[in-house]
Amino acid sequence: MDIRLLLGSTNLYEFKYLLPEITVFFGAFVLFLLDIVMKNSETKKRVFLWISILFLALSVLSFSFKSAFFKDVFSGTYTIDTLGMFSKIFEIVLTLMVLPFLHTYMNKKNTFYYEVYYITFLSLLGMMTLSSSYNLVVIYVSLEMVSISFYIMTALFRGSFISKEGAYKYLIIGGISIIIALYGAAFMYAASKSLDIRAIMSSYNDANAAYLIVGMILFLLAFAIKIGIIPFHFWLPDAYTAAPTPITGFMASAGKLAFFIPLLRLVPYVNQHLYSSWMISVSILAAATMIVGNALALVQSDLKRLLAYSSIAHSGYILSVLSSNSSMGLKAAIYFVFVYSVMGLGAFLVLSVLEQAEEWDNQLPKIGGLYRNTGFLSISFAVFIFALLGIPPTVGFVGKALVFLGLAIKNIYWLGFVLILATAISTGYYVRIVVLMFMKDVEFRFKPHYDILENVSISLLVFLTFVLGMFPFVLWNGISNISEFLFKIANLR
Amino acid sequence: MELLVFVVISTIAIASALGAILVKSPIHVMVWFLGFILSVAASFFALKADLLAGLQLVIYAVAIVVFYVLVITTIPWEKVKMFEGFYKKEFVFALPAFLFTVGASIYLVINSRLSNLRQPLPKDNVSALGTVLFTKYIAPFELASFILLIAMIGAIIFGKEKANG
Repeated sequence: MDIRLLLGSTNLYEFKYLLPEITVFFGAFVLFLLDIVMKNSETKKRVFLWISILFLALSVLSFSFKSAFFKDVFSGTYTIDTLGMFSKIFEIVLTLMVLPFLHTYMNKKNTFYYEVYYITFLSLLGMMTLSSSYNLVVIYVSLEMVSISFYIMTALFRGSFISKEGAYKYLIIGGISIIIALYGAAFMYAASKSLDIRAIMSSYNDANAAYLIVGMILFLLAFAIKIGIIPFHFWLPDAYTAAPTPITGFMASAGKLAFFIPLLRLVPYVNQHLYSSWMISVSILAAATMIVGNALALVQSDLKRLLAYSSIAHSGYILSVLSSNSSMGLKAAIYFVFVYSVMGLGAFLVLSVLEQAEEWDNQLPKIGGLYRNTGFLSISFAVFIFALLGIPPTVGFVGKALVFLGLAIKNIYWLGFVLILATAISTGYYVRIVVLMFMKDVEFRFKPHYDILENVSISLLVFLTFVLGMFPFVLWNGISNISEFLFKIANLR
Repeated sequence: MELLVFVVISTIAIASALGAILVKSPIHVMVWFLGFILSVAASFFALKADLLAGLQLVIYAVAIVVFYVLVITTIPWEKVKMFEGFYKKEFVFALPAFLFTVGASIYLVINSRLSNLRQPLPKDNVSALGTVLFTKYIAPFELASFILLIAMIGAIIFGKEKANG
């Protein structure tokens, strides 16, 4: 075939919609070249940090801000819309906050890898493409991109056997989840002869109903493994404990946000025929996750593992409201997934600073009397813990209230009560952390070192935790428009 | 005739898959696995999906099996925990899941009319796929190259780490 014919069928001007993605890719490329050109030194470490920050900032600036915007490019395989834009900006900003901590952590722990910068960039690129597509092929490819970067990043702890073991478990179970997603995609394709989720879901008829439902549920299960839903959570505590702590924060915030977006995009297309099977599978998974996740967190003595189980429980809260399958439910889910990424990242980043101390071994009693060592750090940790618990006026309270509202609108009260019960269980371990921090004697003397960038990131996260909780409409107005717009487009089909 | 071919090929496929799980020596596992790959390729040929069958042969039967054999030769087998008989507890947990999966598949096959949904394949597999790959699916095609890049960087990191001690 003539090459010009092939080129002509791709509209090259459509690349202009990919400007943020291309900027991130270009950043990865520049870092890759610098790694070859420059000799290892202290200057190189700082140059890498600042160049990464520069490219991420450029990428945020290259978005064209529009509300209620929707465009399919590359023959419908790639979708540029407001939900995608919001989540991409969040992912980039969260990465920006992680990088300074990663720099200090790797320096202190004598495990510096220059490669981690461009792997972070490439996984960010995967997250960005995952957040902006309805096409099963693009979703699969981006899922692989994010996951493979995460496997590598989990293992990047020099000389640590646990890190390699966690990465290996993640690799095996992550591989299984990818296979399940492909199996589900095969069923969906067989049922509808299309690879586009929108076309697949609206192709429902009596002949293909069974295959469509099986495909949908397998697809859901694959994502359940990725976001750590019980009973598919076994990799998560091990991988989160094994990874270097800033990377754990990156996986729990930006990664979780990206893994949730395809599920969120699926919700408006679950029509009344598919609703009952969707509702039953999602609500059972969510109820099990909320209860078991919190109960398992209650018995942990390792602080990092405890936060990992709390991350599982939060996936359950977000998933529970997806069962309501209404515009209100989608709004609550989007709000909660955004704010969880803020507070979860904050908690993990504080832990990464604490790990600078020689005596620190992540055991719960070691946090005793932290307030007397470092006031700012312990207060911000308490803020994140209270937000995860859901105390007003932090974001966690608004998120949980919205989830309950989303469930109440569709009369799924039993799941709402499970949510309250799970929150009650979670009070046990969250409050214990705060009590230990503020009311016990000092366990060890410790003066944390953090530079201006780390100070700014933690302050910004604390600020967001309060501001988005006290004035939720800052985020809510945007999310409300996004959700209604998604439902409007879905109803047009 | 088509049915007969299918039955023979799929019997071989299931038998070799079982063989791959049940034999003890890792090299024998690879031989059984190779048999499985070849029978799947044969079933693709029977369905007239030439390109898929060819890829199955080139990628799986050649690249991946050879790669596995190379890996097997580098593993220090005296340090590896070997199979210690029948895992009773795991079997009890796995049995319901297995029965559920088989039951659900049988239900699907009986109750659905998937054969009606079958699409005719284009005559020239290779060029049809190539055209789609470079026109409609250009975005995922380009993204797939990043996966290889990431995996390569990861392999280099861990290889270097081992070389440095």
